[in-house]
Amino acid sequence: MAQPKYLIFPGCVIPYRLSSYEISARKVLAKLGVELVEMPEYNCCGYPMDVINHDLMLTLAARNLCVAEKQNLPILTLCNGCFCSLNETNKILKEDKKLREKINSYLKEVGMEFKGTTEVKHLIYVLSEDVGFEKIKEAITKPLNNLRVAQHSGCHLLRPAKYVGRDDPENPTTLKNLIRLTGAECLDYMDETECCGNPIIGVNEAVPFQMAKEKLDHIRAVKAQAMITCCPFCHIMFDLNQPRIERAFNEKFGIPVLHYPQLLGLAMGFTPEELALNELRVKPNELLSLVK
Amino acid sequence: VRVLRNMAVEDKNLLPLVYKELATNLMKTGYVYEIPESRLQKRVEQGLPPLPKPNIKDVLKIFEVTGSSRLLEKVQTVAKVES
Repeated sequence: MAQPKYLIFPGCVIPYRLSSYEISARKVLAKLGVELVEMPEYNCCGYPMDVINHDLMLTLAARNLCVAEKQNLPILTLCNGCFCSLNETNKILKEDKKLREKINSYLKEVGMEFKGTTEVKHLIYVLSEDVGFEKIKEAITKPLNNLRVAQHSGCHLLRPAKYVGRDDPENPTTLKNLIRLTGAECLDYMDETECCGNPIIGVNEAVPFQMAKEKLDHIRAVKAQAMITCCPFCHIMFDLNQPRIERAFNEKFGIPVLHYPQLLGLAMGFTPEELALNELRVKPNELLSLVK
Repeated sequence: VRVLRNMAVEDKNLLPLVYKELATNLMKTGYVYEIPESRLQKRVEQGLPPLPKPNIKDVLKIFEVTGSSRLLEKVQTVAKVES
């Protein structure tokens, strides 16, 4: 079987604040035989601009899709937001001829045309569908049998279901099954599919802090030793903002939040340093002592 | 919800400040965050490939032809929304 090859789309927030996600993803993908090509001249996926003007979001996303079409490669995203805007735009423009013509009239001004010949996949779907569970299983050299973790897939890995077309948004299993491959136990908890709250933090802190606090409460209730995410925005909410949430509610959680490829990487035999675990805000020292 | 948000910008000239800042960064750098030089350098030190240079000319043109530059010029911003 040919080696899977993708254009990697790191987006904006990962290079800005979360290189640990990119570092660990690149490490595990390389070891699993996935080839990554740097995406030339990419711009923001467009997602944050949907608030201002829908056509702007579609055209920014479509420009990135045109770059991928020129390279004749599918796109791999690490961010749920980038996956949402690029995948949704790709599918909408393939289906809606009238809208495609409108967006192409904008793209013509920058010498591009959307043709609908590429595909967009999130890291989690590349691992589960293209690399496959069997190959990942074979790569596990240090099963994490002592760990009990909880997952948070995030909204846009699963929704809108019409465009994602994978997994069940009300009862998602893909990330859970990928976690179980590492040997760790993946615990169920209350309101697993609730949003992290991050999308509104720019305009209101009280509501997202309350939402994230409730999630951390539910995870603590099942005695999870860590939370596993696959989206930079969810990760920021639960890891970077955890000390702020603790201060706001005068409570101590101390729950480490790992990017999924960090967990997988540990089970594949990478060291914590190689996976940039030292960059996490909530230090996973106790968890790492269980892995040794 | 998205249509209502777009209408608030188009018809009422209202936008949360954070989105104006993100749009300004995007028009300046191609990304919604202005990534400091030190961060770009750290990427390389960490063994990551340099971040590709976005095509700012294309981004500005897209803002212009979609009418977004015009919207952003006249829009009034609100800092926070109470819950």
